[in-house]
Amino acid sequence: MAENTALETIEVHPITFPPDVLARISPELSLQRHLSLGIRPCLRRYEEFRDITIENNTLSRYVEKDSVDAKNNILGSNILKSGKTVVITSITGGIIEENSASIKDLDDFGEDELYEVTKEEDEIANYASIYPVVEVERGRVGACTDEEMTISQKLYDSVLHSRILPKKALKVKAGVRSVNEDGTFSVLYPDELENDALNETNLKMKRKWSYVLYAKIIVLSRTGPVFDLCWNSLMYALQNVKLPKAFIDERASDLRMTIRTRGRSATIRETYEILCDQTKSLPLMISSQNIAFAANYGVIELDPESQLQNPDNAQEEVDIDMDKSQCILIADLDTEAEEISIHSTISVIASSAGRYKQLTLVGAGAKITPEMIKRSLLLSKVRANDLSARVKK
Amino acid sequence: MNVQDRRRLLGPAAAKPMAFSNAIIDEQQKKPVNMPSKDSENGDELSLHTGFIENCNGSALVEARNLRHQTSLITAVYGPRSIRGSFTSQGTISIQLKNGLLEKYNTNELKEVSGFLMGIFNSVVNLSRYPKSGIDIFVYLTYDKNLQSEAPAGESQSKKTFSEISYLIPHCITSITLALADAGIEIVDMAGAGEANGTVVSFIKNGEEIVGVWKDEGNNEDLLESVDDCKEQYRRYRDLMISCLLEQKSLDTSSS
Amino acid sequence: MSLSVAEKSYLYDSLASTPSVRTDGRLPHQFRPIEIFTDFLPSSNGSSRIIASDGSECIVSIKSKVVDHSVENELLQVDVDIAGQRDDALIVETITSLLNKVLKSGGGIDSSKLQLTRKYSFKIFVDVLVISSYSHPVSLISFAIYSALNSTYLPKLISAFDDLEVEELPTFHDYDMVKLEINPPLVFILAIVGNNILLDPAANESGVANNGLIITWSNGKITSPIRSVALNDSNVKGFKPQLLKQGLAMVEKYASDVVRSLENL
Repeated sequence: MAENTALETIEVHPITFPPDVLARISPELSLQRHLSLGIRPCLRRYEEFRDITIENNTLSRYVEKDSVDAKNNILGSNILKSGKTVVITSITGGIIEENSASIKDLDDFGEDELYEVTKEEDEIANYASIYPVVEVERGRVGACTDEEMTISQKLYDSVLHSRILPKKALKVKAGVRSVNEDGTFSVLYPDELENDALNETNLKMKRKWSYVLYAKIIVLSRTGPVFDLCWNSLMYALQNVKLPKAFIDERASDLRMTIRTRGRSATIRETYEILCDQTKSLPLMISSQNIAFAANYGVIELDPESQLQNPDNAQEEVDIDMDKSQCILIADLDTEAEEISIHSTISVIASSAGRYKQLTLVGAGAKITPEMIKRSLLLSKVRANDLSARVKK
Repeated sequence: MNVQDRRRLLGPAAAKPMAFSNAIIDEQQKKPVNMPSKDSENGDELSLHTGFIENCNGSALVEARNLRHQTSLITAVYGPRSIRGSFTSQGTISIQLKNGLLEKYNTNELKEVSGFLMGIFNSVVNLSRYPKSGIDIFVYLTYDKNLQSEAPAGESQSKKTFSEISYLIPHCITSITLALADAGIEIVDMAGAGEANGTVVSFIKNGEEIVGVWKDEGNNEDLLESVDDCKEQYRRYRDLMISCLLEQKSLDTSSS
Repeated sequence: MSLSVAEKSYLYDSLASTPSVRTDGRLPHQFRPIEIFTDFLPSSNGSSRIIASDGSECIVSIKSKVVDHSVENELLQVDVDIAGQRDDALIVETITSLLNKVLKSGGGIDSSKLQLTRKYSFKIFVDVLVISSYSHPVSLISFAIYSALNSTYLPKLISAFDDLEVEELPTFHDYDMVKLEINPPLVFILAIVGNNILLDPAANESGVANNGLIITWSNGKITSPIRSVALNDSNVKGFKPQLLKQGLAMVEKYASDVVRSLENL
């Protein structure tokens, strides 16, 4: 019998794959192999972030100092490149008339309910957010993906709760356009205080407007999680937003019409256009101390079995590692391998001064220890310092 | 059909987009700021890059600037990838043109252009090599600016907005061709196009064959002369494309 | 009905031979017979229904509205609906965009013909419904638009032309209508098969054509838009530059005959 089995035995050759093939067929194993060497598949060290390059305001209508691009309605923009990923953010604006009724009806994000619930939430009602639409390009058409929806919502909430955009900053200080005797138009703005007469006309204006900001964020060449790239790009873009001055026509500034409908007479206010000035603009006054930058981390358990064995002292190493599993913190997740094999994540939004705006922990798989949270908070602060320094250049 | 899209955060419905006045801008607009020098050859500056988008099969960036226009387009090619459904003996191409940041063109005009481009690339790509597969091409008009100082009068402006898209078409063709080459998809020849007097003609085979003609305005008397001008421009663009691809190739081989 | 590979090859060879042999025995420049009915929709200002011999059918209705022409630049607006196609389908949007360019003011249409007063003009809405179509419908639609616009009667203005000083809206006569006199452009579609050019390609001819041309004819001459158009997905190829010239010459030669026959309705 022994002879028979010996005859039928097939010699099994170990199959070896080149690293890039292995990375495709078993990303987890490939990641573990890399980690055991102290590096990641993207050749970064555990706590190394990708460098970013940014271009601010190159797409907006205020690119050139002394002229505006008349057809362009982008108020602020940013292009952020991080590794291979490119995030293009453009901020556009709209104007909404502030009468208390319309705000209550239309703002369905629950600000008013919050107002009633607690005193603390009351603070939040003084802040506004931006309406982001995120598009992650991946060669598909049709409805937006879950990822895009989640990121958009998270950006909206985070901007609101970071208290970056005070509602005050979005108030329209509407000017009045009047026709001069020679038939030319001139626009007077309340903040260009030249004469008191203007203030009088301005006082008569009972209606108020505020700006609404929209962000369109396009992510090209997505290689890993993109929330923090979108957030950082949005932060840069917000910092260079300029709001055009707006004005209304003198004749319309307090126009009322009486109309009769079915016997009853009612006063309606003429709807008229509020126009934006082509050239004059003011920078958006954001609360700069609240500007914060995002960073993400992953926690992964090193799998002792998939360690690359060093041929010289293979035996001892394996013996030591088998007993306890070791968790490590990885900063700035990128590449498919890391995204699919690292489930425990920490996401931090922090300002350079050490104000923490958001901390999200997702524990799935590897255990997140308090030391790791501390470490990630510290790293985030350093990262925020680095990123905020880029703006000044 | 005014249904609010609940999947996206579009902001309050009562908000109106900003409307800019156009009465008092003329003086600032007249200043030619940062205009490319007139003596640069034919006033065209073109910058081409390939292969910088990771999650697609081939990509290209075309940035063009001439006296009238400044444009930047990103093209991404996904495919050949398998399609669902019954067997097809040859590949299908779909081209999507996306407005990008500046919502400048009507969607039906963009669709018309993408239909036109599909016609061109149906004849350029060797589709019989790709049975049961689809090639999806996405063109993003990232940036597009009219450098010409325009007359403020309403009439001339409305005329201009109509034909503006024809300046873009040659660059769309250039960038799609480059992206296809970058994706390693078999094409019959490098397709290119030129634009003259609002006429766009796209060629292959050194100008021996036309693959597309687009004319939005003007009379047809000059059409046949425009064809020759377009051909000249096509040759220049094609040479640039080839040198760009060769440079990329030599970079790749030297780095690996 | 789709043709087999062998049938397609046979058809291609016969169309590409000199002289080309078309399946229905037509000459290269010959149209298929069409039937047109006009002015049959009582609630619109003008209407027409066109039926081609292969069963393609299209209905056009013309409606009008008074607008301030300093605000509205475009005085003609085309809307296309093709049965069985979504509103955002490629073919629908392409044809809409093309026809809007064909009928845009300043090009093929003399907008002064629509002017009522110094301030106001008629704006014409052209609604196209393609009930069934087998080949590229743009030529058929343009014939239908042509005959619908030529059968359009608009209310007669009785108020003054000069209304810049007096703030008044145009008022119209109760019964009298005025015939709309604009010369809408026509759109021709040509198929390129080998080195031959065929006017008004039928469905099977479109299926094997190497390329197609869309040429606009207005007021006795060729105007823009001019386009090349792929008539199918499988057989598209480049064509020789002189074919473009030949196509233009063919339209130049026969378009006036088409205009004459449409006018004699």
